[in-house]
Amino acid sequence: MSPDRRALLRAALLSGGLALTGSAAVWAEGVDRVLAAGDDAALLGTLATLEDSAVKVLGTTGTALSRAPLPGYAQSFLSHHRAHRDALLTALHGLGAPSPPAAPSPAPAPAGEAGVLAVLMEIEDRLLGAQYAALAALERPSLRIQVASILGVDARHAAVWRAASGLDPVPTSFVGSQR
Amino acid sequence: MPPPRPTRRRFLGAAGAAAGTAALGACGAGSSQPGPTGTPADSVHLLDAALVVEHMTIHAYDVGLPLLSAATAPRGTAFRQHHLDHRDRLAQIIAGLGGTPTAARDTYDIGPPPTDEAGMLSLAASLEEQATRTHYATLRRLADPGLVQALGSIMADEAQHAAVLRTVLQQDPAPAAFVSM
Repeated sequence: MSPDRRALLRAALLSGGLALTGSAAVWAEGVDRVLAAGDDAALLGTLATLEDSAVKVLGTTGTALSRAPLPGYAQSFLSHHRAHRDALLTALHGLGAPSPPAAPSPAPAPAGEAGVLAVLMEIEDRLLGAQYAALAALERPSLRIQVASILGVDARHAAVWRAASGLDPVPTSFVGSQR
Repeated sequence: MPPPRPTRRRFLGAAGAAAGTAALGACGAGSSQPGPTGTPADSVHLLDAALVVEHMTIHAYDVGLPLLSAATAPRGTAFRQHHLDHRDRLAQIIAGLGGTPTAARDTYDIGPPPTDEAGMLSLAASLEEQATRTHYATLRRLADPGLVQALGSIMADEAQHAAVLRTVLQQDPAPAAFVSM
């Protein structure tokens, strides 16, 4: 992706005109990670690493959830993120590119359900920002379709964690708008 | 001869056909279905099918919102507003491409009308799931990355609606790892 296109995309994606705080800041971080990637392979690698982060975070913090039905959701969503990571890696290898570095080990799980849910929302928001940006940044149509297929599921995860936290599960009309 | 009466099955079928519905792998890679189409006219046709799905879903909420309790009505009202926003965004895009957005009809066949809250929640969940799949099928055929992003954003919002409604119905909010058609 050319620097000009990257700058244009970033401006368009972050054009809310609002100070980016909380989930919006995390979302913007996801956007920035994608836009920093140079080409489709790098972009897929970035997305795969973010999914790997979700796998690791859910693997370590998901067990701290005890209120039904949250433990079941955590297990199910963990399997989704594994499947997303693996699908992205398969696509990446299809481009002849090597696997990206594994995501670093997550920080220790926060104490209490509210803290765990905050971490899980952050993970999903970062993914949504990255995936939303990727839909416009990927050069290959087949990869855009694949990412859209993942975006539609990670968006569900975000809604579930928000609802479990007592927040509006679907606060905007457009996933990615952050307004 | 008057045009056929719009029905839920017909519209969703038309939208799916417009989007080139075909059997796919779980995450969509390696499909043999027709690839993206790039002319503005093609995009208008595809996005207009998505717009009709929004019209139908808004109609369903109009019919069923009075059935919802104080506990679920705020969600239903918010989701209806989201669909109005989707409708307006799609109409704006279609007009920007030189097309004429299909106007909403007075009524749509959404199947047997719901008679109670559970029925409405079930109908809404079903329509949101179908809207998610239809929008996904549509974006697969769009060549313009900006249009893919715009419809992807709407699709993901519908998926969130479906997840919330399924949770209320005590169903799995995210039953699959990938959106499929």
